[in-house]
Amino acid sequence: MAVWQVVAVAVIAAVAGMESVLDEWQWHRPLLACTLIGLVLGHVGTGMAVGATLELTALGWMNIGASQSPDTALASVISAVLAIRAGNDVNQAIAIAIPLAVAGNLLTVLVRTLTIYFQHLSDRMSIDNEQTALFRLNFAALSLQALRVAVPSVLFTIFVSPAMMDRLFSFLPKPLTDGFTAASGFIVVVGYAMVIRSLQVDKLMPYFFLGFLAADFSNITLVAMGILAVAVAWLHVRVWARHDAPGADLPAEEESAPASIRRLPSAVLWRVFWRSQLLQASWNYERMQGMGYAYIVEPTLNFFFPEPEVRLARKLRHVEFFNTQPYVANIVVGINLALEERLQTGDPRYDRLVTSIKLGMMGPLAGVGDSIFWGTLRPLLASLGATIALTGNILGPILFFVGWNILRLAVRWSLLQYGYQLGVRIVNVIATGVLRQVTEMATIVGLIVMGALVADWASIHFAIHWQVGHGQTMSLTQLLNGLFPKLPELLLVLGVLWLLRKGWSSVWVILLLFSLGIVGVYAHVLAA
Amino acid sequence: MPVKHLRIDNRLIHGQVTATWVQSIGANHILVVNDQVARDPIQKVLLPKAARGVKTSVLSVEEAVAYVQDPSHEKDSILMVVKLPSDALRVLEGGVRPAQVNVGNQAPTPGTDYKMVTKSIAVTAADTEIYKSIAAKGFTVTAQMLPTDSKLDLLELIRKKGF
Repeated sequence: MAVWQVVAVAVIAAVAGMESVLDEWQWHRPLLACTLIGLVLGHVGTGMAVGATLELTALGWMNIGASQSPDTALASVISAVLAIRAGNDVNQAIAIAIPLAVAGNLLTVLVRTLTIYFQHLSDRMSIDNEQTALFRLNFAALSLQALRVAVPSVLFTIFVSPAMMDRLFSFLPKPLTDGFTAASGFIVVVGYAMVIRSLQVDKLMPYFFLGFLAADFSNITLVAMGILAVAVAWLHVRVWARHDAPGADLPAEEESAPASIRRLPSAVLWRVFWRSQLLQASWNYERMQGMGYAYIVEPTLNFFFPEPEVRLARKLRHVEFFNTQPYVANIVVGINLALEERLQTGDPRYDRLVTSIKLGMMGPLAGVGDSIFWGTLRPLLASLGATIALTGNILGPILFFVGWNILRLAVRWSLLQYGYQLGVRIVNVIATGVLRQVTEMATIVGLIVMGALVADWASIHFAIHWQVGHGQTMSLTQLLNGLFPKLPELLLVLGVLWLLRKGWSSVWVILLLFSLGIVGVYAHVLAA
Repeated sequence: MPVKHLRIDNRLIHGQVTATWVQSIGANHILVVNDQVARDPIQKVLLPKAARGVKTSVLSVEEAVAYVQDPSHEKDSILMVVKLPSDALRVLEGGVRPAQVNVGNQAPTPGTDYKMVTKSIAVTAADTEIYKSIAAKGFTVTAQMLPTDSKLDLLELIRKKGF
């Protein structure tokens, strides 16, 4: 391997490491990270195949609040390097990726704990260094996250030779490798089941069966299914469901702005927008996004408060605890900017309102934002991209990357604008039940598409067949195709969902399914 | 007693609560309990919007105790989320007997002398006394972020940290 390739792997690993905590551009998702590794190592096809398969397994891996999922960054980079160097076997790489993801998670927990130190340093910033402190501390924390993935990946790439991997894999007995292959057909149901669980379905579960049946008994494409799902969700929310009475009235009515205050120039607003993508750079277990939040609003504080003492006090005030879904956080930031604008007058009521808005909104927005972005939209786009990638088409990862980031930046920008323009009045808008409708629509779209994905992409190959008359054989698969194709896959998803609800972690379920695959092949029930 | 679970979490209602706990407990009503929050018009309006359709009330400690003890609410399945350990103690002193007392997240208050006993739970000496009083009432205080995490004995963890 050439030196430039090792360097490129290091860069990809570092970016994936940073992204796995930022969760913005999604370079840490297998579909993108593995494809990039494939690109620099000269085997795009293999990289993409590993990425797509791993992506489908990891669909439901998302960070909610302080709970971290298995780490896709480390798993993606190393498993792609491994698959390419050891002769392009995708299934073996996937089997190794899962324990790597768990180990990677331990490392990220470690870094998120170490970052508490930087958080404490931010409490001690002074007039001498307040201009650069938040920048330095946030990027120091982010660099640790980069090293967390880059160092193990480079060591692995340099020191593990193809010969070593060959020897390792040749030790594996045939039923084991066939078992992996059999299991790789249905291991994706874990991702689907995790997404369904996180959608919090209750009464909406019929939409899942609707999606499953529609895809199972037709040739509808996934894109068409998505459009159908949006239509059905719209009908549900706007036509079938009873409307929520907008009952809430808020005393916090905003007076019109006094003419004397300075408005925020759009250049500063843009700076806040770009910085808002670093909200989670220094994510730590003590104050989570606290320091990132302070860094985001910093340009505003620099603009409004020219006196160093006041400015420092405002910055110190914002390194407090904060945590919500990073994209919808911009609505809070927007409102906060409007309130800082008012604070120029020195009226302390606005400062109390800042606390109230931050505390009051972060929980509700996280509840809604997590389920829309992590629980619905990303699995949808990722499964669409992975599905296309599995056919060997590079448009799969590109579609995922472009689609997601256009959506993300549009949401970030419009929420920031919206929050800033409306100030606290936005609370009234949210109170009319619009959040509830948006989540419900997202849930329905998610369920219908998950149903379709199960029908299209989960596959259990049975090896069972029997004699019927002269030389004619009938296989279980043929029988099922005549009655109810994909019934076993449907039951498997429901079974996995049940296990997850019982409190099983996804990694244990994946290990269970791998063992089922191995035992199934060994007992001649399943075919590789 | 209709209270299935008492969660001490200073983030109140958020993703972990709505995406995992509500289902795992089978709750049909969330009570958010804290005197200050119950007086804050913004939080009072916004928190119920986070619960994705599960009925949610934001109450003061006194109101919450009265609500739970009203016999007409006997059939509710309540997830009670309080902000602080002191809220939990007051609720229990009011006679509420939840099936479980659990600490989800307690972010540290800057300027206090705290220790992190888990990744997400900060404890001060004063908090420790309150948790001990809760335990003295016959409840095991657990530390558990998500239903899928293992249940840890919080007082055991605090002892290990040397309070």
